[in-house]
Amino acid sequence: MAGNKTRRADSAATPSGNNGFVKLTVRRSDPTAPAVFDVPGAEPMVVLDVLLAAQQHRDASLAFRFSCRAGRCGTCTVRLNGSAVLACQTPVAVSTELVVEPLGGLPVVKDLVVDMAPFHARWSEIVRLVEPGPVVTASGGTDQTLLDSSRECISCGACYAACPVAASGRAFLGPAALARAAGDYAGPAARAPASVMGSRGFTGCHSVGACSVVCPRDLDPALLIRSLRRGRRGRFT
Amino acid sequence: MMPGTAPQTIATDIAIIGSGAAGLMATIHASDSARDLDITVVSKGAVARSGCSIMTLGFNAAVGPGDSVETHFTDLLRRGEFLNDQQLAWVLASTAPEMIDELGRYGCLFDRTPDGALTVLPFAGQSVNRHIARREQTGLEIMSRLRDQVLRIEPRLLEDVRALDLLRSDSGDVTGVVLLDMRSGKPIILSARVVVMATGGAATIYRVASPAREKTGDGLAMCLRAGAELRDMEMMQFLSVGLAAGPSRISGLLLSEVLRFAGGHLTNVAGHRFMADSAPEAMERASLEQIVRASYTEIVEGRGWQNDGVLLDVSHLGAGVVADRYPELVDRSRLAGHDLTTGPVPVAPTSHFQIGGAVIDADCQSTLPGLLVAGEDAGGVHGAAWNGGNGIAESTVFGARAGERAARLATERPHQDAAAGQIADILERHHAPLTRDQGTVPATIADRLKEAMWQGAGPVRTEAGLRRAADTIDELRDEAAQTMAPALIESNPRWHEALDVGNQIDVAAVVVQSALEREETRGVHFRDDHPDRDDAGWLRYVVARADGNRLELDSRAVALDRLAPGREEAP
Ligand SMILES: Cc1cc2nc3c(=O)[nH]c(=O)nc-3n(C[C@H](O)[C@H](O)[C@H](O)COP(=O)(O)OP(=O)(O)OC[C@H]3O[C@@H](n4cnc5c(N)ncnc54)[C@H](O)[C@@H]3O)c2cc1C
Ligand code: SF4
Ligand code: FES
Repeated sequence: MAGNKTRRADSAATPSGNNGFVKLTVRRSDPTAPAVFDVPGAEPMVVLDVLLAAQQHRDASLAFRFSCRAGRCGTCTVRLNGSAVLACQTPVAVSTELVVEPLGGLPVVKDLVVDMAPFHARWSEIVRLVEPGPVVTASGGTDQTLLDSSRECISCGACYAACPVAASGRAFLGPAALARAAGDYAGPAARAPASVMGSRGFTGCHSVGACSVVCPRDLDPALLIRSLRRGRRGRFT
Repeated sequence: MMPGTAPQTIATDIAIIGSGAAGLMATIHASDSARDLDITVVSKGAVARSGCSIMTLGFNAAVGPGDSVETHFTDLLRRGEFLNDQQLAWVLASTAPEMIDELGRYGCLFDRTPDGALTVLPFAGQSVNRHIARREQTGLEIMSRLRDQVLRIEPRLLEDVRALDLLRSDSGDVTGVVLLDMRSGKPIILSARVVVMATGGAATIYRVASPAREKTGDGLAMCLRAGAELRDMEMMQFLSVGLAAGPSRISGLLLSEVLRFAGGHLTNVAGHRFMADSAPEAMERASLEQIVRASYTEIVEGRGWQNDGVLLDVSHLGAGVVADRYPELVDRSRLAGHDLTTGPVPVAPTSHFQIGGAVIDADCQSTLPGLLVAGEDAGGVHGAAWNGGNGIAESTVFGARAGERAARLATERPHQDAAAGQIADILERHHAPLTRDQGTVPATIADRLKEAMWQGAGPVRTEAGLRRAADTIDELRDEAAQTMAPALIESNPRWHEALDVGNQIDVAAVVVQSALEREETRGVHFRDDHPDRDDAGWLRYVVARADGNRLELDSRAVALDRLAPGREEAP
């Protein structure tokens, strides 16, 4: 199963020495808004709790997004001490310092809320090219990992934000959308349109691999892109 | 409305409120019925990534060996203790298998046996295996492929836009809905020939709850304020395995009922396996409602762990076994600071699924012309108790029917004007928190509401307790009329909390009043002062309707057209 990666915030953060409190620094979109908050620590506590406490008790206008708090919806993705995490799935130890920023590579709407439109536009472009088809597969089949990584994406955008090619502003379709395409073309209806294969698509990938490193679901878009580029298009069944 | 600004107006054929399984299925089926329809999907959170459909683990459909539509139907009625609308339950059981095929056509993969047949899993409350799953990602699989399908249709998608209230014509028809773009803070008037309500109920109104944050009863409150009838609102399904994590927002996330059946022990803080007191034979394998009531009693009587939960322990199965079988649950327990592989984890009854909802017919028509309701916002399918797997089945089955019905209605119904003054009233009411320079904090009111519901209208109810909850709700309603949020319209979380809590209060009041009405015990509704099921007096469903500020309650006999208690063989 591709569970959620849990990176403890304390391993990346430095002890703040301020006992019983978590020191939260947030990159605000309004540079004059308060950005540093001391939040009383609690057990258990996840990054989302720290953000909520800052919002409830310190600055009611602090904006961030979340929904399921179960690692399923992908809307709570933020950068914590430099790396993308799901705020709801990342535990925090008391007396640590957290630096929380919005995902890079996407326009900021407000504070930690980014505009996912570029990510979704590319995803939409792919699914409009791909015909849905009845796919029958035996569970536990050979290329299960590969197949899963195309299907269990929660569209959190972390891979897109981390990808230097996507961030360069070119029309590159990005890891999640290409992984989505690869999954389908590797299935029975294997006919990849030119746009997916071209420089906006698979050949545009520079094989940096950042996508697979950051994915909070431990999916491996880089592997899918690579396998499709090598022309490996066997059926999964 | 902010003075001087004319709100944007959009005219659409069909307005679909909610982007869970019900909303997206409605979109797909409306579009399939008539390609040229203008369809607008309004979603308070991310499209297909808000609400609970995405978190589901299994889908019930009678496709397995030895199963049949009749058997699924009979299971629904037994579980629902005959309070179900039998026509709706029949539609669910008979259409669920087609839905699995349809989802397959959209590219959904479900687990299969080596010979290619769908794997059907056992589940408590089912007489035959019929739980269909995609590893542990069923909801994600379904919602991802439904979203892809909707993206191909290209309806107007209004994401991070919330519906505030329904608009009605002078003759009482629903004519559209007033929306609020949560990012820009600007209102939108959406005029529609038909509105489909699919916001997923209000199971968030208890202290510990499993649903996603958007589900604050907005749809039910809107239906109520517009004058629609709601039924079975006293019926709220609790599960026994919500993480008890104190004030952390992860409280209420689910472990799994499966752990009890795998040999898990439930103890109170003194280490006593308390199921020995109420179910000495079955112990932890007792019925869900028995477990929920016993756990609740331990906690409210002060024998819980940190007053918060009872302790669920499977570590005696062996750390390796637990880690192997339940990796995701182990991760979740660790998130809460415990470890399922090595020791007990505190759990509490968690409010999970709103069984009651709008009164609908088999095509999702509510009691208001122009308004269809589908999924968790609708009532009647499940009766007095719900079973896992029937929720996502309901949302897809009835979402699809709502879409088809909406497409037909859209050709018959003209756009109509809302009654004079309504838009201004709605906007003024919803902007009020921004205009106060002092007032109450919405989150505090929400916390008190959830505590009052847990204490007085939870898994064990009495008349006195329900009346106390009703009194608290009245007080909170007054305080909620004085909430304050910073005077800024863009992305203002506190403002939205204020709007949320207003809806939660409206729905909670109906839950409590309906629970007072039903002076018997049936399904999830346990009245400690009326502990027996009373088929002679109460094969009746409670219907609530608001008339201005007054709530009218009424009860109607269930039509026992296919099955009745004692006549339980398949129809
Ligand atoms: C943790 C969890 C696990 C579950 N597991 C299962 C399972 O395994 N099997 C099963 O059958 N059922 C399960 N259920 C129940 C199941 O999730 C529901 O029955 C089903 O998802 C309801 O679908 P829906 O489309 O009605 O609502 P949802 O999927 O909840 O969607 C509601 C939608 O309405 C939107 N919304 C809310 N308010 C507004 C507003 N004011 N304006 C605009 N949009 C709004 C939300 O953003 C969301 O898009 C589970 C529930 C939970 C909480
Ligand atoms: S592939 Fe992983 S990182 Fe990229 S959007 Fe999907 S879940 Fe997020
Ligand atoms: S809130 Fe949904 S993944 Fe974190």
